[in-house]
Amino acid sequence: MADGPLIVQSDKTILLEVDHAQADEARHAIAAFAELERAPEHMHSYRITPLGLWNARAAGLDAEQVLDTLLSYSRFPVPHALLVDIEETMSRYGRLRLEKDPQHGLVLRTSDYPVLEEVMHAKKIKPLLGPRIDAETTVVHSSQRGALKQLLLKLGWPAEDLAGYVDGTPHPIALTESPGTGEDAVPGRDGWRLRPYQKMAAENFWAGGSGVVVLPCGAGKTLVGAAAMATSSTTTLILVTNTVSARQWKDELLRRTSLTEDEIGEYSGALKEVRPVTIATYQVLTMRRGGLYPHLELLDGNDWGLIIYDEVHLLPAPIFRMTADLQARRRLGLTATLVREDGREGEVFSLIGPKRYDAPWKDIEAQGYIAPADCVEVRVDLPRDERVAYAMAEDADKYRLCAASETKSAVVEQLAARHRGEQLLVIGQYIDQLDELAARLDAPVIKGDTSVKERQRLFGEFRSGALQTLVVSKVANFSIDLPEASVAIQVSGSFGSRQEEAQRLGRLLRPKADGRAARFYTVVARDTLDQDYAAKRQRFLAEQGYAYTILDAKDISKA
Amino acid sequence: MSSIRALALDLAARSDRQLRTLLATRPDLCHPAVPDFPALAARACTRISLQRALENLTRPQLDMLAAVVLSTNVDSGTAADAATLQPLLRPASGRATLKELDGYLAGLHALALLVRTPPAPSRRHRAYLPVTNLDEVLGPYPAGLGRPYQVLASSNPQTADRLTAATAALHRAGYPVEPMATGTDAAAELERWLADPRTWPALLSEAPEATGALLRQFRRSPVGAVPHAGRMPEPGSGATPVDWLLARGLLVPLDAAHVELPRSVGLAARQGAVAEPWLTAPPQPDAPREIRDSIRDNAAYSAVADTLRMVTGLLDQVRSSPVATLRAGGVGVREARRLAEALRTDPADAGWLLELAAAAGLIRLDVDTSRWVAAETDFGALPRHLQWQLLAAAWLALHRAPALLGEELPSGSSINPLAAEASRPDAPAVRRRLLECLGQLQQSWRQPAAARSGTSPAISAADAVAYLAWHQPRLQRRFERLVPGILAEAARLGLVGSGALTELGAALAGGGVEEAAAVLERDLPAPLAHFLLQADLTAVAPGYLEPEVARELALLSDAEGQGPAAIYRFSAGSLRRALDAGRDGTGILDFLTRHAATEVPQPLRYLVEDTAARHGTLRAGPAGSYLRSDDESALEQLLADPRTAPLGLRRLAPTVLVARAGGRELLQTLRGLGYSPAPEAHDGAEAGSAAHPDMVFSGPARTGAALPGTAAGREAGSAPAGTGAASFPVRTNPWAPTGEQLDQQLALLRGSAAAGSAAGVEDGPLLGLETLRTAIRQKRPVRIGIVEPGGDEHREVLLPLSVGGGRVRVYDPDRQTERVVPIHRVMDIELAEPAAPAGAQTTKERAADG
Repeated sequence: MADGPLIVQSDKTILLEVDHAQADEARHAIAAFAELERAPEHMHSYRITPLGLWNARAAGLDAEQVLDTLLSYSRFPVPHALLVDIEETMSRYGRLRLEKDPQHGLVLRTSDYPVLEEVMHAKKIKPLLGPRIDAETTVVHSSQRGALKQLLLKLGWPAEDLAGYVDGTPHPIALTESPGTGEDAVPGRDGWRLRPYQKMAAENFWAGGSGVVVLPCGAGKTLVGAAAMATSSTTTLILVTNTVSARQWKDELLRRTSLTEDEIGEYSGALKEVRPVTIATYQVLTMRRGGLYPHLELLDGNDWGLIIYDEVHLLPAPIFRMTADLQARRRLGLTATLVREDGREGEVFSLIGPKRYDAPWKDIEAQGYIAPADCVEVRVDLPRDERVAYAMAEDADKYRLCAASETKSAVVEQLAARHRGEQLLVIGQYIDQLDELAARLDAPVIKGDTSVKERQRLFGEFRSGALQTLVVSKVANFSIDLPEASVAIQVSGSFGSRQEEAQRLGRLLRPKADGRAARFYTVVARDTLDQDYAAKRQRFLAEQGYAYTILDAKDISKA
Repeated sequence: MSSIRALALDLAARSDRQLRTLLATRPDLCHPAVPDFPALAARACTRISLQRALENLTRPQLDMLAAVVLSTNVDSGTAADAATLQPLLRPASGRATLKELDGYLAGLHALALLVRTPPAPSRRHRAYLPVTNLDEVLGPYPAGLGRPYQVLASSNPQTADRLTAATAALHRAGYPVEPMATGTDAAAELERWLADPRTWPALLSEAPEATGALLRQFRRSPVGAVPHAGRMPEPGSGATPVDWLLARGLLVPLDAAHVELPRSVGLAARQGAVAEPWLTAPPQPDAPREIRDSIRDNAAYSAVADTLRMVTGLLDQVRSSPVATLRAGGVGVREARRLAEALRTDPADAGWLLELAAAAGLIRLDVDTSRWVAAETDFGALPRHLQWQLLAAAWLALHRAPALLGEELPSGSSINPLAAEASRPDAPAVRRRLLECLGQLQQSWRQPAAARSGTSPAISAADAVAYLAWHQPRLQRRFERLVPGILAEAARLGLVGSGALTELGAALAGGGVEEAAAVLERDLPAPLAHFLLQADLTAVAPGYLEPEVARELALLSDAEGQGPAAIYRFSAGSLRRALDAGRDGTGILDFLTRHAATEVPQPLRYLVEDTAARHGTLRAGPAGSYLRSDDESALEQLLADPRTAPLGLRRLAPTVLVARAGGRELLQTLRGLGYSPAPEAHDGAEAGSAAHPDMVFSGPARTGAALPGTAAGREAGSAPAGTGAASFPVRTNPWAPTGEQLDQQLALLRGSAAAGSAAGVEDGPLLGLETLRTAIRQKRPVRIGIVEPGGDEHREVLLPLSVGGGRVRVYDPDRQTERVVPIHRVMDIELAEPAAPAGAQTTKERAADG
């Protein structure tokens, strides 16, 4: 108890001192039951939630082990109430089990009779249950497997689902790993191998049946999906967030597996192909026409052996409802974070499955697979007349006034000059401002009205290096797969939601060849709303472990 | 021979050693000193002394005493000895030996609860009689047995009728019972019938199934609640056990809802024994839960750290905003909730912390304001083990039961923190007993193997109560009420961890607060002087920070989270607070650099520098009035004039001076000095000549005073919007002040201005309150100007008694009554002439008496 790396707080957070000698051990031990909340440079904080504890139970950990971990790594005495609470919470998982009975089909079984009594008397659960077989068993309507699990979780008695899965139509899929030719993928080359953690994630998932694999952005979640498909070797449905992502999946699968172009179908707004492996977007599935979901039958009209949900934390609510009916099929969720901004973590847990693998971000970073960008906030002083205009403006116009200030242009120019020779993106929200910047930097602009053909040409040139500076609007960065850059300058607008922001940064900014981290600049007008937003961004990015620096515009040359 | 005289002789015959033991165990017998043995005996037989003695008896002793009382008759001289008591006291297994019984009897005799009868040749064992009053003190139901039939029969006519009816019914049903005409006879007949050893087994064999279980329910008390107790079922129809017993007169109704099991029935149901089983050893739980010592210590030390942290937090909170009390006493729900929110805990917790802090004298009730304020202590600077020692000692001696907070009172309200209702004068004794009990239980339950494997038994509240109740059965209810709460509190102080007594608790049970604190000193980690700074603008203190560092850090940032590590978040707002408190940017960065285990992250450094650089661009401060002139030299001249010193003039800019004095005073003083200042209205326009210049300041004040509640009733000098002579609210006033009244008013204002030279506008009410408080302290009368509800103003000389909550309580010497005057009706207050006439002197004293 004397000198562990953990400090367990009474508000159910755990602080991990990163620089401690035992930090890595402790991190692995607590990752099983606590969710990483913030990861600034010295003290990471994890949160203990009922879901996290149940995830741990699903992974085979018991309360005793969790308490032991806390007690042995904790520097100070652990609040006793928290220990009691953990024990109590964990004991709730698995008292109810969903099982397959040879005679009665799907049944809900318990070893603790009063619990069954309690849930059977819940108003919402009653209609989902069939006749009672004996004191400890009751029949469940098989169509209600998902709904029941959801409701049981809400009641605080999460059921362990042991009822198994349908096999699905077999379809041979193999990974095209070629051992011996190097450790990891250089895209397009022949030799590649699953990284150890990817392999482990796929194995853990398969052993658990259904569930979620948590890997940081850029850690190769697609490959985990491919590995799961190879193990399953059945027809597979992959649900992704958007068309761009669908294409990426397709490319990746073609490259990494034995699947051919003909075997992979895309089911999106533009194309409606159903093939042994079908990649569908959330959007098309949740499209409603006349109160009906016309594309819903894709889900249950085919005998899928595996369903993969990409970016589970963005899964829209209608998909949850549909997933409730798919409980007999294996489900793999892939995500960078289990924290959902809408708080539907419980539904992920009950409908897709418990967490099966979680690789602490720091580990993968330490292994050199991902690298965070350097964030720099540059503060500019608004000139006197703009300040007065800002002070007198209506609330609705204030942000535009401060974000689109002309003084920013000079700063952007300065920054662009500093990074001459590097691939540089300028990102903004206001078209006038972007046009002006483009003129100053002598760079093309991509905005809403730029044709697809033009976009692709510009992106192509940017990727090849023929074009080094590109100005893009917010519209552009939403819809198109932005090419990678080593420097990005944001002048206005936010970069997607809070959560997306860090992810996009991670994807967009690749480390430079010489190993230097990529740079992300935001230019911010001092004493304005712009600065308030920047403060939030700073907190979020710093909590995500990005290095963050604030500069005055006049100090750019010194930095 | 009277029992007291017999006891006197008995006592006189004892050895010094025996007497010493007696007086040591019953100290009330010699306090104050008694002159002789008869007096000692008399005192030993008083009810109060007997009660005290009985409170300290164990369960077997008390059973024994009850058995003696039940089997003896003082009037007829029937004494009891070991042999007669043997069948009455039946241990759980086997029979009590005569030697054992003699031992208990001797023990009770030593306590002067029994008197030895003269030895008789026919007896082999010493026989004893109870002392006078003992039966009364034992109560009507000794050992939980009901009253005899005889007593019941004579208690009320209905019961007597019931008994005669019962004999008749029994007779009809064919039992060997004769019908009797009177209650007394019927009682005797029933006694006789039940005394036959064959009766009870025969009866029981024909009783309904659940009768045995029902009778067992009468073990603790012979009185039970039964619906329609007055019914008289026929013996044949006895379907339920209650009916069956009622029909046979074995259960006697007391009123419509209650029944009593008569003594002989109760005895028969216990197979003739008074105590069955007679527990000669304290109860042992079957298998005490074993707690690993590491878990136990973890729980205890986390609780200690938590409690100390929370108390410190509470003190900070109380220091910054004192805690208001309700008029009925105690801290209200709203206030408790506010505290809880500030401490990031729940109101129940806040209540306990308040109680603890008050017990330790860390907060005190300020009688002037009826608020709890932080006392001037060095608690925050003490090392943590000494902080704990202070709290633990205070808790041990606390005459209150904080665990009762929140319980509902008969009135429907609940017990508030620091309210009188939670007062329990016996709490310290119960705490001591409980700690001792925990220590003994720990000793007796701890298996040798367990001790080796590093575990200790967890002692539940029920176990502790059972153990305590065996030792002091007469206090059982008190234990049942207080022990669970005390155990919870002990856990908060680390005396108990996860249910098991800790080293701290054992040390404290052994009586050594200092020893316990020494244990704590050994085990608590040393305070840290460093913290970690991070780029998300937080500082994390990985443990308990040195108080000074923590205080400074709390000034610079806002604490968040709850637990052993404190997290502080910096923001521009928190830094500005520190800058306001006199810190500067370099100082802050120095502090951070000095105490941070890591480098100061660039964003934080930037934030500090940026905030510091821009702090103070706008500056604000108090002033009573201003003076401006385009003629800079005129202002300079004024500043240089020593006669303007009382005005407190200060130069803000070349053309602007501010004065500490109010506007009116400024004008008057300057005019008095021969200057001719022009008053300016609110919007800076020169107040026209249509109104008297003084009206700019005095007008609104006058109306405000006359008409409390109007918008104009704010401080003088701040005229309402739309000033200018024509729109003065004076014009709309229903009664116009006469010139005389105005003159008086002005004279009054002048007088007060001259008296309190630098009294600004803001200070007026405060001065008044201070005057009032001074008067209260010195018991001096004051002259108070009061505005009547109708708007009339008058002044009278009154003796103020207290002030608080917006009211002054005053004694009116003329009417010889006490009154309460709302402060907002008070116009002004001044001390009445110190040389009070003799009459006033007497009224003052009378008031003080009242």
